[in-house]
Amino acid sequence: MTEAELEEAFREDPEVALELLDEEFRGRIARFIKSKVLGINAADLADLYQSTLLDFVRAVRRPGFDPSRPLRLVFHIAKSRAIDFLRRKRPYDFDADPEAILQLVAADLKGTDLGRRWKYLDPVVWREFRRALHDEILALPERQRQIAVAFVALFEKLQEAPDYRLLARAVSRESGNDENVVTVKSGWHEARRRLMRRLTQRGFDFLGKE
Amino acid sequence: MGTKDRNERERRALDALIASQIRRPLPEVPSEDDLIELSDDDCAALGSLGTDLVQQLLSRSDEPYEEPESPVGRTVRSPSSEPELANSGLNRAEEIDDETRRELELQREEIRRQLREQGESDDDA
Repeated sequence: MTEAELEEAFREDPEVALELLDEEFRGRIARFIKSKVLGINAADLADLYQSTLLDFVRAVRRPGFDPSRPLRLVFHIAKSRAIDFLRRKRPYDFDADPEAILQLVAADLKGTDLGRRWKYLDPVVWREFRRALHDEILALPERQRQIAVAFVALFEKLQEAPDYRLLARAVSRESGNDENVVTVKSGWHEARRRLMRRLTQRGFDFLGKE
Repeated sequence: MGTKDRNERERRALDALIASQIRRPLPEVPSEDDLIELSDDDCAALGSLGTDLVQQLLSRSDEPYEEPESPVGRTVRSPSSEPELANSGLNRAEEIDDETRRELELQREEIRRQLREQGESDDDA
């Protein structure tokens, strides 16, 4: 079903359109939430999907609801719910400025072998790499996974000022233990080595050697 | 540049690549290709929400609602341009029974059929 068809369904019968939205797009909306919240567990994912749909139902019931581009609104609500969730559960991690990270990344990749190899890859490979990377982070041993999730969230701060106390505090929050800077830093290095090894085994050999 | 510096730069580039790919901004309406796959556990948890989730939520939707900030160019709470929607059946909050469920299923099928027919006639045009 396309967004235009869904929009038409909303104009015709909003209640039925909501049923269609849930039936046809539940998976895609949940995948969006999962893409926004690295490492979210299945129960939290289902809760976030449900609260997204509830907010959307409320928006639809409001007088003056505009049925044009319903998917745009529902994904916007899903993003807001994902950010609320991160603020609650991981206060160090909420997607504050996605553009800022892109600029920083461009600067870090510039003039490196990895940056050159990455630039000439097919976008299909970028997409496959992204999914594989996500899978492999989630497949890390628990402690390394906690460190990797926190590292990704804190990336800009750590690149600007490599103060691993921030990372230790974030990991402490995830693990419930008092984490120390040295072990957290070496934990990230170990996680990175493991990720590179696994991704290279999966055919992403542009990563080079650690 | 020495080997040590070069290795350090490559490591920073790798960190940047990892972070940027995980936190890459998504389009307003992402396609399937943009998104991470669900695991079996995810599918089971989502499946456990049931097939009558919308009906359950309709009965809860009178609870207070915190409106998210509007997406650019869109007004979530717009002036009443579609008054017929305001008076639709969505303003009911009630339990769903078997008869209503059957009725909804018939309506869904009818809308699907109309959309299919419309799609086919658009293709023919």
